[in-house]
Formats: sequence, structure tokens, C-alpha cells
Amino acid sequence: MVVTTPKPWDEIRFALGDGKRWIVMGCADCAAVCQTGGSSQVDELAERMEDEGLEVLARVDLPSPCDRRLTRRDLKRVVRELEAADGVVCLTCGGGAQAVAELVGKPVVAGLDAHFVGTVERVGVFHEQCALCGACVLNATGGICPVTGCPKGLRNGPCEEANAGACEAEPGLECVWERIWERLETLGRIGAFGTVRPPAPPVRRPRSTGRRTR
Amino acid sequence: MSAASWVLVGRVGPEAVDRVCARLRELTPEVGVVLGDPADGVHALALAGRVLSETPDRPVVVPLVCRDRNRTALVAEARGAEALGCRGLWLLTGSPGPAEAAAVYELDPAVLAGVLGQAGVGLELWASGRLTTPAERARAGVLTGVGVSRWIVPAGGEPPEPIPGLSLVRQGPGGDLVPLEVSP
Repeated sequence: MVVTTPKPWDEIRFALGDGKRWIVMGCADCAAVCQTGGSSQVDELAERMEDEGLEVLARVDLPSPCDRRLTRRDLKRVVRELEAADGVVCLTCGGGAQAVAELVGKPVVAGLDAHFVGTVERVGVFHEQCALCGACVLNATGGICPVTGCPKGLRNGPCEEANAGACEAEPGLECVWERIWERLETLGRIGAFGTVRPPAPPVRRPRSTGRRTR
Repeated sequence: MSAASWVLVGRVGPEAVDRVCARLRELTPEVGVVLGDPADGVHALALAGRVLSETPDRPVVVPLVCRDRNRTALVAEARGAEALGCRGLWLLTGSPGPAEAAAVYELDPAVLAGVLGQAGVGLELWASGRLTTPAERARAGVLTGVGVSRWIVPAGGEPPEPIPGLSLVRQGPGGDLVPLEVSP
């Protein structure tokens, strides 16, 4: 799940510029779980904008804005409002905002900041547990990710500063590689600890598995 | 061991270079020098160059810190150490720097040792760390398997059990020049 936080109102207001008529779109998926882009947050932002003298032509909850097929279908419901609007405010992650931008052909204001892929402990408490590194080592580390669990992201640990299970880079944190050792020992797979894991492939942007058109 | 005895030099700020070099000149050439993680101090290769210019026969081991360097930079530093005439490389992960600087750890010592081998760097490889927990000892075994032959154990505590294939060197008390005691 993509974990997001709302942008400050001043930043959103600045991005709205001179536009008067807007559509506010939220995400019923990740942003709704984070309570940053669900229907309540869409309503709150719309009301704030109306208090500022702006006109909100439609409030839309998109099931998965990042799925262009679904978004293309759902935007047909507000095609007249889109024609009349100066732009769209998206309470979604950057993927969702860009998908909307490509489809509407109008200015899109991003209302959220996306931070990481996380798991949910409870509303408001999220844990980054996947770094999207493209070279997952969970099979060899007993299901514990060292890239997100280690402040240095080490794929071969522990580091030389580890102190009997305590992390030196993050005081109060248990060394993830000690946890990995204990987990592998419990699973009877301690032999996996001694493998040298190569670094993740370097990130070359833009990243896409899709076909390039030019 | 490749030297009669060793001393470890920690971080050296620009203001301390002359003092540290003066202390090193007092040592016989057979005493090897291990330069520690410079962090925000004087770059290790620069300090090594100064030491070797004053005592060309002195064995010098320089740190190769994975923090904030990609593999290109690490191989270049290793080749620089080789060109200077250094004896060895101390492979370190390194601690994160100031919060406003993005921490980069493309490689770690285990992978770095392999990268150096592929790059044809033929220096002696050192590493370090405590050897108290099974995970820490397993790490030492992994690094031994990729070519590390010398290991610096921090000061304090009981001497650790030996690791096959590793020559252990134990840090003494602190100071500018920290003696390194070769374990029997």
C-alpha cells in the first residue's frame, strides 16, 4: 500500500493559481486507508476550496486512480464537469495523479505526498516493509526485508558497528540481521545466512515495463 | 602478519595532520599504520600519501568506506591506494553522515571484496567488527570466504574465539595512535 500524507493547504492553494472551477478526485484504495484521499478528505478539501471562493464542480472517488482503464471509464461520468473545469485536484499518489493528468488534458494539482510502500498496523501507523528494489531477498532472509529493516539497507549484514544485536545507526533499534539470524535458525534454514547477496540492480529511470512509443 | 606491529589512526581533521604525522615519524618503519574511517576529516588517500612520502617503507592500510560511494568511486579509490603503494584496504560499511545528506550504500564489504577482485585490485583485505553473536561470526566467515584475511576486533571484552582463515588484531586503548595487538 502506498502511504501518503496531505500537502499543506498553502502549497495546494499556490498550485491552484488563478483557476476558479475545479474537480476534486480521491482514491478509494491506498489513500482512503491512509485517510488522506478518501471520500471524507475529498469533502473536506472541497469545502475548504469553496470557503476560499472557488467552485468545486464535482467530487469524485476513484476506485484505483492508478489503473488507467478504470479511471478512463470513471471519468466518463463527469465529462461535462471536466469540460467546464479549470483543472483537477487529486488526492492520490503520484501514479494516480499522473494517470488522471494524461486522461483529462487539464492542469492537475497533486494534493498528497507519497512516502513509501507500507503495511498497516492501524490507521495512522504504517511500516515501510518493501523498498521496491526489484531484487527481493525475502526467500533467503526468512521473510524479513533487510533493505527496509536496516538503516543502511544492507543486503549482506550485519555491519561492523553492530553491537550484540543493537543497531548503531538507529539507537533503540534491534539489528535486523540479528532478527534474520534468529528467524532462519527457527526455520532450520541457517545455511541461507552465509550467502553473499549481490546488490540490487541500479535504478535507471524512467522505469517501465511498458512499450516505449518513441 | 605483514608488519611487526600496527597502530590505528582514527579520524584526522585538517588541524591534526601535522601532529599525527610527527607522531608516526617517531615510529620505526616496520610499524604498520591502519587509517580509520575519515568521516568528515582528511581523505584517507591524502593522508596515506603524506605518510608514505615521509616513510616509504611503512605498511599502510587505508579504509575503503561503502557509505556515500557507488562502485565506480570505490574501485577508483582502491586503485588509488594501490598506486600509492598501500599494503591493504580496510573494508568498512560506514555510519550515516549528517541527516541532510542522502546516505548511499550501493555496496557492502562482502560484495565490495568481490568487485575489487574482478577489478584486479590485489591489496590485502581487512574488515572489522565484534565477533560475539552467531550472526556477527557468520558475517566474518562470509567475508573470509571472499578474501578478507585480517580482522580488527574492537577494544573491550574477552578476546573472541578465532575464525578459521582470519588473523585477528585487537584494538588497544584509545588515543591518536591506537595499538593493535595481534591475537595469538
